[in-house]
Amino acid sequence: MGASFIPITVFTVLWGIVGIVCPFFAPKGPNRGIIQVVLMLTAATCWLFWLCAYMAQMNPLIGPRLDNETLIWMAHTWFKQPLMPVKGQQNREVKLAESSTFP
Amino acid sequence: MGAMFRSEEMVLCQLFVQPEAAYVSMYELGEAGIAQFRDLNPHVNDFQRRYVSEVRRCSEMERKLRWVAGELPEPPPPPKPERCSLSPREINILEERIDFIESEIQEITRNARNLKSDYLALIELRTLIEKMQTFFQDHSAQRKISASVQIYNNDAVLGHLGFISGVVTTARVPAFEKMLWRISHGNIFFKQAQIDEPLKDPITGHELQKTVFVVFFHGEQIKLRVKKVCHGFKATLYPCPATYKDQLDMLAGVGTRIKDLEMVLEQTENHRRLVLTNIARDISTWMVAVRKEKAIYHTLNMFSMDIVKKCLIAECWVPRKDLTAVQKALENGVKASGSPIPSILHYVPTNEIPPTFNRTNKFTRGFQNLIDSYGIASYREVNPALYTIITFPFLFAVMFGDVGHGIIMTAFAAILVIYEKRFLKIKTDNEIWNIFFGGRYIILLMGIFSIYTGLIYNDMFSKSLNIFGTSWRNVYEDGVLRNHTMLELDPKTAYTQTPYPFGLDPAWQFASNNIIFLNSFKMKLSIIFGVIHMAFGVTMSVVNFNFFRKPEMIFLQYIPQILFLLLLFWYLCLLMFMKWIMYSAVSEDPSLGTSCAPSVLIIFINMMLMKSSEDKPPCRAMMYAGQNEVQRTFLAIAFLCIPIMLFGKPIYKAFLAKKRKQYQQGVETGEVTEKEGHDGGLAEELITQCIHTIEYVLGAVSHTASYLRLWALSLAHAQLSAVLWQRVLVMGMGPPGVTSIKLYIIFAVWAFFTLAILVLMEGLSAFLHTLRLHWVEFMSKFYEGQGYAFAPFSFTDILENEEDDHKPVMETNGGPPE
Repeated sequence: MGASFIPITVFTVLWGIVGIVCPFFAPKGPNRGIIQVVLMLTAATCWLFWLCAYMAQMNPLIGPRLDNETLIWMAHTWFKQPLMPVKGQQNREVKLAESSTFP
Repeated sequence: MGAMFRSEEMVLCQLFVQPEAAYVSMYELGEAGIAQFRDLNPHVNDFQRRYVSEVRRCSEMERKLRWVAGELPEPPPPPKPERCSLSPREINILEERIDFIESEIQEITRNARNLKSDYLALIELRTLIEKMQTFFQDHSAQRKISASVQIYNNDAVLGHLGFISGVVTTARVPAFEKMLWRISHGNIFFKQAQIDEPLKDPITGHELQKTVFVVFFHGEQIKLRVKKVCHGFKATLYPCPATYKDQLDMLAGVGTRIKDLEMVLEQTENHRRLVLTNIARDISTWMVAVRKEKAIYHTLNMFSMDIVKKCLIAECWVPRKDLTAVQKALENGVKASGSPIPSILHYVPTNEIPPTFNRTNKFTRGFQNLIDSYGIASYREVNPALYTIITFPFLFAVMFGDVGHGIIMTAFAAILVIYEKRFLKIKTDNEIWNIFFGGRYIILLMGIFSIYTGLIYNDMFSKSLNIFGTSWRNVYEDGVLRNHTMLELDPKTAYTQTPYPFGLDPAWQFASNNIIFLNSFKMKLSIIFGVIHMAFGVTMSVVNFNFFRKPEMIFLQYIPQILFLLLLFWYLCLLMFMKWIMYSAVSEDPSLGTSCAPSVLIIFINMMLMKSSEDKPPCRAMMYAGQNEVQRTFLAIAFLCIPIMLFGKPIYKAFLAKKRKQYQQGVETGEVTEKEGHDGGLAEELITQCIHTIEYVLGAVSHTASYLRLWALSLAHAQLSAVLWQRVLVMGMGPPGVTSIKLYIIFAVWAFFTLAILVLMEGLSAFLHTLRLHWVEFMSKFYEGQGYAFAPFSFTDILENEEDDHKPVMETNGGPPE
């Protein structure tokens, strides 16, 4: 199970506040009902939309197929892993060009 | 419940108004715009109505004012906001004043025109004399002629060489010359010279190209003929002295006359301008007053008289909430007229269907219009516009999801909304602008929702944002990375086991297999939202059944319908959720692993076809124990619902009719039998119900599939924007230097296509698809749309329509044509 407690709570509470708590504080007047419906529908649709995106990724069955350059870049930029011991820009490009013959 | 939940309750009122009080009351009602009057004399000719003369008088005044307004040099200032109505005496004064002004301006215009034509004639004469002098002097060959002319003319010896001079339109000169040649058998001498500076026609203001001519001839006979020809060609003849000295004298005389005339002309023009500026201040206010007056009499024409002709009777639809306002208008009318008899308002019970009136404000109007353009809701039916406020922008955004495009759209709509007062003042006929401006709040919400869905799709101009840190790690060694160009991350090892908290993981944006993942996600999403949307629509019908007191329909129609939808299609959605939760790459049980994850669609199809599939170890054919039995039960219940939908209502009706008959027979009263709405009998009822049922059952399938357009359009949008980035913008990228200039140009191309294709065209297509999803898939579940709109008697509407086109006021209300 890939679910994580914090994001689920945060977003559910967030949209819960919008959709359940906020309608009680809608300004009085002829448009009160409209505002309440708008808030509730917004919260319901947005929450469900987020939930679907979250659940679709909870247990991935396939992984992204990435370019090796992208992988290196991801590792370096996003995770601050040390860059591969390559001698230089030029050298790396040659290597990549060679390796492109592999399937 | 809110103001838009259903249309307002309308009351049919009868008003008894004294004719003296009617005018003021109508004025107040027109200002408020709350009553829709019915024509009580539909068979009376427009010209035989009571207030025809007043309407005619107003039309006449309106015509005069319009004419005067046309004479104004610049458009008049907008009318002053004046709320008081004009008394009949004031109207008379206004009429006299308008008459006076019209005749004065006409007089001035006529004088000016006469003066101008005089002026033109003088100018022509001056040019003529100037040209003549050259004719007579220049050419040595003509000396003789001129000499002889002078001699004979001076000696008053007629019958020798005479001449006629004048001015004719340049275009006619060749024909004119030919004609003169013919009638004189070549015995004339024709000389012409074009006037260089064009003259202005005093009446039309067009430019005139004219030519001065002189004809020399011999004999009185020809002179007459020449004159006739000149007359035929509309040439203006001017007497021109033959001697040079006389010509000079005449030129001087003409010069002074021209000067005098110029002075007079200037004074006339000044006077005219003064008069017009005096009027310009008030003309719009008068125009409004006259139009209101006319509209009031049109409405009064729809009233009928009582037998003794003492009071007017009117019938009108009024929203129940506004009854007090109507009452007050009537009281004010009585007060103003000072008559001792009060006006009376009373309600008429009626079987007629009242008009549908949804009170809207500037925010809700756009959404209400979306619904109304499909069909005006039946009276007091549930109004889908209320839910459309959110569902419409949301479904649009599911297709249009992109942060960047959403921001552009939001910014555009925000400008329209923030400066709406300024834009409102600019009235334009530009239809595209009016559509955008009218839908500014819809566009604003669509933009905001697009930003949200864009964030969930993690898509901004086809790039993603890594806000929370991706859940995918690089697990490959350097050597592997070097030797392979493409590497697939294994969810077992490379995935951190906690999903990206908000939206899709940014790693997917780079992936070459992102379409596979996105398709699976977006298809499921579309079906889930589609089924919920439809179930919501079906449930709306319960509100209608409750309101119209048809509780039996909840059992005969709503429950079978919703069961059918939920047991089949919501079950499909549940399977999707189950698949998301149950199957995992890291699962210890091999039957719940990646290779065993079933296709939800295949399971669903097997369920419909009642096929059972075999286990293929280690995988299980079914997702949970007893699934086969559950599915069979669901299917059986769903199909049992069809006969209930089909026969429930007709049988119930037949049963009711039978019961009523028995009751009547039992009571044996002389009461008139209640009017039966449906006389078609059981057969017709069955056929209608059959159509409805087939429509619903087939609709449930096809409409569910129809929601897949959410997936298709969103996919197309994402792919188009990716292509635009990769094929266009990337061309401009590279090492700094010369490329920056290239990027400068290429960015312009990219920005243009982003706006024109991705925001405008894709936006339009997503809008239309959303509209369809609402009109067909959502509203077909409960919406009747058989009503007619409430069209109150309101000055604002009348004046606005008037500005659009100069059609007679209130033509729709059966008033006499102008």
